[in-house]
Amino acid sequence: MTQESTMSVSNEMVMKRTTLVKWDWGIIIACIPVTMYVLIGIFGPIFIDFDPTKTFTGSRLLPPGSVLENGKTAWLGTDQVGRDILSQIIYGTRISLLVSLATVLIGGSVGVLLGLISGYFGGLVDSIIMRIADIQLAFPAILLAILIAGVLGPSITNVIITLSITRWVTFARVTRGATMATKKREFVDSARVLGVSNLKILFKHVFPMCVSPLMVIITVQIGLVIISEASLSFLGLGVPPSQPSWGLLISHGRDYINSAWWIATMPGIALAILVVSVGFLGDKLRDKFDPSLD
Amino acid sequence: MQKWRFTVNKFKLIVLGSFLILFAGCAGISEEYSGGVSSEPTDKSTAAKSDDQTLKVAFDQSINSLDPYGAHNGEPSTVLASRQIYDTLVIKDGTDYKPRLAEEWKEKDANTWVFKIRKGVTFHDGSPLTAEDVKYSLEQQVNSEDSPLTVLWNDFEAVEATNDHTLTIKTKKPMGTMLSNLSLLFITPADSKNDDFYEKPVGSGPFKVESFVPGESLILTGNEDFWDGAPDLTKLEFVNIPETAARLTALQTGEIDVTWTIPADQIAELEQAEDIEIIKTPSYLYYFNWFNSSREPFDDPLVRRAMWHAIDTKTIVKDLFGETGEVMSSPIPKEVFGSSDMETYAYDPELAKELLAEAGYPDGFSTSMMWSNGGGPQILQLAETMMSYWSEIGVQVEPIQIERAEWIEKLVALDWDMDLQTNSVITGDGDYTLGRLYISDANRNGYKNEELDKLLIAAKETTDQAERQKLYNRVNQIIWDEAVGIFPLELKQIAAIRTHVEGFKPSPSDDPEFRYVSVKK
Amino acid sequence: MAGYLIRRILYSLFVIWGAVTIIFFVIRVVPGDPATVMLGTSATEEQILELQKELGLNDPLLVQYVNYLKDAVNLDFGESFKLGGSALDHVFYRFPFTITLAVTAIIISITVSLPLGILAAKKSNGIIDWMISTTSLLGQSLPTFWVGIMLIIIFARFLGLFPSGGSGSIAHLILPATTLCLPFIGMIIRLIRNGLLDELSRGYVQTARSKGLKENSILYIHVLRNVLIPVITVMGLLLGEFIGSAIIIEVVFSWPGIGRLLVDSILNRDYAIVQASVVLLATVYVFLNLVVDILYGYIDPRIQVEESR
Repeated sequence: MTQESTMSVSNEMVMKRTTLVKWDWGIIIACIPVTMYVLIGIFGPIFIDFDPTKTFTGSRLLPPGSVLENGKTAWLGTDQVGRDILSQIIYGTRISLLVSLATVLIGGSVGVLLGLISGYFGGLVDSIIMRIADIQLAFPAILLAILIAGVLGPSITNVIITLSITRWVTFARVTRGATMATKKREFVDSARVLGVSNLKILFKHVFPMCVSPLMVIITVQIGLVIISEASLSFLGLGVPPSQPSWGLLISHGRDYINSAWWIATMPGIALAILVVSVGFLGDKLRDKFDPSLD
Repeated sequence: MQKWRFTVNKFKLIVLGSFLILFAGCAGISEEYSGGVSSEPTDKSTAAKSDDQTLKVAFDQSINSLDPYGAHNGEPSTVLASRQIYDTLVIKDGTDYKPRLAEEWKEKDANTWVFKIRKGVTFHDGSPLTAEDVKYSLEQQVNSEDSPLTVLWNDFEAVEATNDHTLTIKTKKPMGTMLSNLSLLFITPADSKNDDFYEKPVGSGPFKVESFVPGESLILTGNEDFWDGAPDLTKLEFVNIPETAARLTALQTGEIDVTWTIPADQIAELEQAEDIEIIKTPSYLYYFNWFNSSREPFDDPLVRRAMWHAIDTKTIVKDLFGETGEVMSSPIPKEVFGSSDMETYAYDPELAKELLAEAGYPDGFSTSMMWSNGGGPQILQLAETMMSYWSEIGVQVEPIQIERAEWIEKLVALDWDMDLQTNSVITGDGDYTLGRLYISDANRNGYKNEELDKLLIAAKETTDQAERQKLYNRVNQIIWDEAVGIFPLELKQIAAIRTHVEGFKPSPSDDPEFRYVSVKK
Repeated sequence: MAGYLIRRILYSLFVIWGAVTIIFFVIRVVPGDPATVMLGTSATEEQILELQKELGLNDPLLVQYVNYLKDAVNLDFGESFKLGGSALDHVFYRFPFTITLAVTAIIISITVSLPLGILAAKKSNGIIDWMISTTSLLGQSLPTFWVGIMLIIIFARFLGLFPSGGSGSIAHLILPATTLCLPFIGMIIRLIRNGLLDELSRGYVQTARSKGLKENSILYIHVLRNVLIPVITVMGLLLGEFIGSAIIIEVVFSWPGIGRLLVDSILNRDYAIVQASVVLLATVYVFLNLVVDILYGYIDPRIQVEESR
């Protein structure tokens, strides 16, 4: 649904030439929390002494702030086998970011490419690509994800593949819309008249015009992919149990909401803050690139 | 202006009206369809006041089928439902068997059993139950292609209804498990062949089927004409609430009256509730971790023993399972016929390392462990903890958690290194597990031992139960010493009931009889 | 118009066929076949082969597919392996639960977001506007299954106001329906707000203003009606989206809808039920699209039917 609304918005965006270069403090501020997450994801696991495969059954289900057998403090409590939840969340950050970035990169590239081809050449190619997209949109994305994840089995790579397959459509549609709008414009026509090759027109003239709508789409999609990964893992179809994904932590915590609420709560908060930050950034980008909202 | 005002009102009216319609429609749907699934939550005060003896039960599985000879009859939920709807010839009572539909029986010779069928028993439709019905039922079971219990009757030869109330069963070889098998043979009328019979089946048990929605709910009513006296309950409802937390909340709010399979971590909280009682009983359910003895390095008993010594089963059971588990002393649970009492493997990581070195793996090795998602209570925690212990002796284990369908496929194909699972000895007789899984021909875990095969066959074909126990003692010793698998713990069945429920006795095989239950007024 | 309708319907059928085909082939590549699952761990090799033959699982994939399509046209999706009986019956039995949940969620979301959207448009860029966009951003950013669990912890566990799961009364509906619509409320509010702002900046509004019409009259009579077009479109499509999100929410709240049936059936390799429910879901979704498209053309004659996608 978010796709639909952003799509109509993006078509308009192309018409108004916007510049990316101008500094915008709102965007810079919105970048801060996202950057922090990225830094935690990259460096966090290096600085903490934690092995997600080690269990400490003697310190199970301890509430936040408890002191463990080894003298350390579990600031966010421990889980059902005595592992520190904060450490697992830090590890989980890396997984979430890895999956979302890889998915947006892979699914996005495929989608953008197909969208460019579809929008620029039109005709039969366009029909085939868009019909496939329609068919895919005819059933809920999460269902397709569950099915494919079921086929592939749980692993980080498979989650990325699964989510890329479910996400390319949005990129394709947005790019197609932007391409079709750009195609009609004078500078493309004149390039064609001058005998510039299609490939060159596509990447030199058309693609740059798709960048600003894509920027907005990417932030929206990153948020969606983070949630999708967590949802799949929650259902036991995403990341394998040896990896401390946020979705898995929440799923394990579900059995303990009566006795240890923190297991399900804490990873969810970490996830929520990240997705909110990304969404906030997306909002800022949208506001900037789509003056009709001002 | 006037006209516009009017339009504003009309517009508002339309919006309001459509909301109302949607609301009404929605309420209509929810009421119409909720009837089949569950009625209004049983309010404590009304339940106390009314005479109506209604009991609502939810447990951790769904009742998917009422066919006692179909693909589901190995599932505890189908056995549970069958226990209420149908009756059996005999019923297990401790280590012995009590008469039910069979008043008495005798072994005419080693291969011939004669049962005297009780007179005056009727099915729910009023027709009398005769030996023909029993013959039909047994033949259905023996010939069933998709029932996992068909294997129990491999030595079956023929069944004959000598007269209306005499039944003769002939076997190819002496069958030491005859009575335990019969305790799982549910009797249906001889003409119950048509396909939709099991949608609302007729039995001779203490409860009649009122409605059944596979996977969702089963509603039963008390059978006034039950031969052993009508049950106290007039209505018995099974609803499906698979999620533990939701199920326990439902118990606390009084939405359901009885539930079982309660995780260790939830017991303390339930015990604090004044109107809830916790009942703990031994069960036939236990955990084991098999080694694939046909694969390196588990073809070496030294490695298998090392793996067991590396694990502190006592601490695991205490920390993870608390009151819900007990360290095993035999490859089958204590309550099961044929179990022995042996010394547990001591937790000794140094010894484990020595054994590994002796076997040629001084630095450990890498292997994998598979289990099915939801394959047992706290299975993930148990797996993670075991892997954590193994990493201490240098054995790195790759976890493979898969869906049940895929797990079964891999398990049967011996496509695994280690397999962690629960197993229920549903018949309560050791043969069901030992004789079926550990005989070389079955090739379930790659372990082959001729001596073991001989003992298992002898135990199966002896009808002298004391002799069988002796044979199983030797069987258990071999499986234990050879460490065919690690047998960490057996599980206790933890049931929770609201205190107004009386006469509830949990069963080790999760199929308690509700005919003895009543609701205090 | 008739030609358009026919083309539109044919196209819908094509999309449904595509969805069914994708699911058919995807699910048959999944490891673990139903015969093995049905028989459990104690089955012998022969038993499994026998049952596979009986279920037609040994036929070439293409034969299975053609047979399946033939049956699908006759609305015969076969018997459920796990639950017994016609798969379609099971799906039809569960479907109203999901619809109830989705419709309740839509009602809740409209009731909440219409006034908030208008308010946000009126106080454009004010504090209220900021609050609404922030909360809506929040609603969209929180994973539904986690929100569901949090609602259970707060409203069922600590406050004891609602049951934590299951079905049977209106009270059972509240938490799952609220969870279901939370991520969309923000979007609908934004949609209404943005639509209103867009419309308000158009020429006819200026004209109406210059004629001295009251701001509220302009808003409710002219502007809101135009804004309702995208809202209706979104609502129609949302119903489909809600059904999708309901899959996980039904799992969290033990709600006996089609989503939980579907997840269970996928895990059990219960092909018949998976296919029956997917065909149903796809049909509903495509049908909603169709209706929305037609409504779209009807409400706003400026949009030519031929232009619709």
